[in-house]
Amino acid sequence: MNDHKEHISQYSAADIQRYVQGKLSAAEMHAMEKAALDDPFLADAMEGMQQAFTEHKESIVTGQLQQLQQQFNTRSNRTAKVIAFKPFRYWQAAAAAAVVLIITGVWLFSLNRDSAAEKQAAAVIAKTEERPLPQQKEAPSVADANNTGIDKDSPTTRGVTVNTHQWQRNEKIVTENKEAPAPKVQVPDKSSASTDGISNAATDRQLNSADKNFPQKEKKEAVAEKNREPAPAVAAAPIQGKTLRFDDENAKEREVETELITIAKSDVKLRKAATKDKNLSGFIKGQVTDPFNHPVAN
Amino acid sequence: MEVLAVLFQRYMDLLYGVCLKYLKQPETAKDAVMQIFEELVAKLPKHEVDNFKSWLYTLAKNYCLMQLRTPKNLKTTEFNADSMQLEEEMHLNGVQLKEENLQKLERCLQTLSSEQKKAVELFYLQNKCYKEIAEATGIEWNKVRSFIQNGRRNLKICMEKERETEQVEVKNIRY
Repeated sequence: MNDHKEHISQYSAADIQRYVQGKLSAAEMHAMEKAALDDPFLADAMEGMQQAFTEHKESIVTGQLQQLQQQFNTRSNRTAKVIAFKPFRYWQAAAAAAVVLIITGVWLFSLNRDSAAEKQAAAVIAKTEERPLPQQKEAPSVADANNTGIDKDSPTTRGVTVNTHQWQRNEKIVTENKEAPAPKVQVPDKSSASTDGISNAATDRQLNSADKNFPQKEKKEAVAEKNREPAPAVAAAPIQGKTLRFDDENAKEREVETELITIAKSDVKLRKAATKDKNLSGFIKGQVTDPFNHPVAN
Repeated sequence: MEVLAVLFQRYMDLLYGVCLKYLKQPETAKDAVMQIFEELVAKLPKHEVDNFKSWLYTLAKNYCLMQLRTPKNLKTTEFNADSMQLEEEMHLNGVQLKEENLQKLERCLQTLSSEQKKAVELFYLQNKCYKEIAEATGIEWNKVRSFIQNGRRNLKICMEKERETEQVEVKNIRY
């Protein structure tokens, strides 16, 4: 409500209410009417109040206005920004955050499950690889930048398709990939950082390989992998990748390779390995003949 | 800024009344006032406003009319000149009446229709309120109001015409 000194310049809702209800004197009414002739704002307001008081209960009309006044009193007393705090926005934000968390949780959960399955497969493969190459350590792998190509083959046991960009990285081939649930870690940088060849090559490779069949692990796995570095290092038998490139590969390794190949999904690199296998020195071409040069029937 | 809230509060009562006029329902009117405040906060920084009160009034009217513009609300009503209030800007019309124009005014007053003349005289010269005039003349309250408004407008037009003719006469005298 306005003070008396503002009475002339501005009429309040209470004044208008009194006018409508006939509680003003004739002179006061005249004054208000005169002001209304000059001020269409006031005129409309008077009209509106008049209609409202005839059609609705007084308490309803004034009640709404009181609510308005209360809201604005708190608002003008606030020192914060005027931008209204809309409660339902809060709910929207909270709901969106909850949905994100749920999706992340489900994803992690599903990855855990896949990694468990992979672990089993990896364990099997690791064993076979360990047999032929017990002494091979990842240490030398550090220097093997070339292995990246082959590495791609080996992880293929998991059916991992290695991304081309992995070629550029000096990934260390780590057989421990096999043991470890083909950690498809998303952190390529970590691998390069690690000095132990072991975990990282495989993990790195896994990092970016988008293998659909084996949804790759997250950083957790990678970290776990790296923690296991020392142990697996010893056990981390064959670094598959190296097998084909090294001159001292032996047939057994190749067998392992073929094993891997058969387990893995079809992959271009796989075919490479497959073709290499055809050049195995174990093949003997020719006929078997007896001392008299007669072919021996088989 | 809380300043806007304080400024808005000054006119909030009138705004509520205006919204009541267009929207009829008290609760709807209350919501409308809140929405108009939001619009004000958004639009005021972008517009140059000379007269805040009249700008706010226009803003409120536009908002209310937009709210009413739903198909189910479109209905035709008769255009009744008697019950219509003038749309033109009546602000400051009263201030223009000065001592030296009173004679002109007298002359113009005679040009009005009898009802308008009566209403205007009773209102301005005798300072009677609408209610009293209605009682005195037997004319209905709404009609009293429209007579006074139309009478004012006609007087204004008449005064303008007088001023123009005066200027023409002055020019003629010079030459």
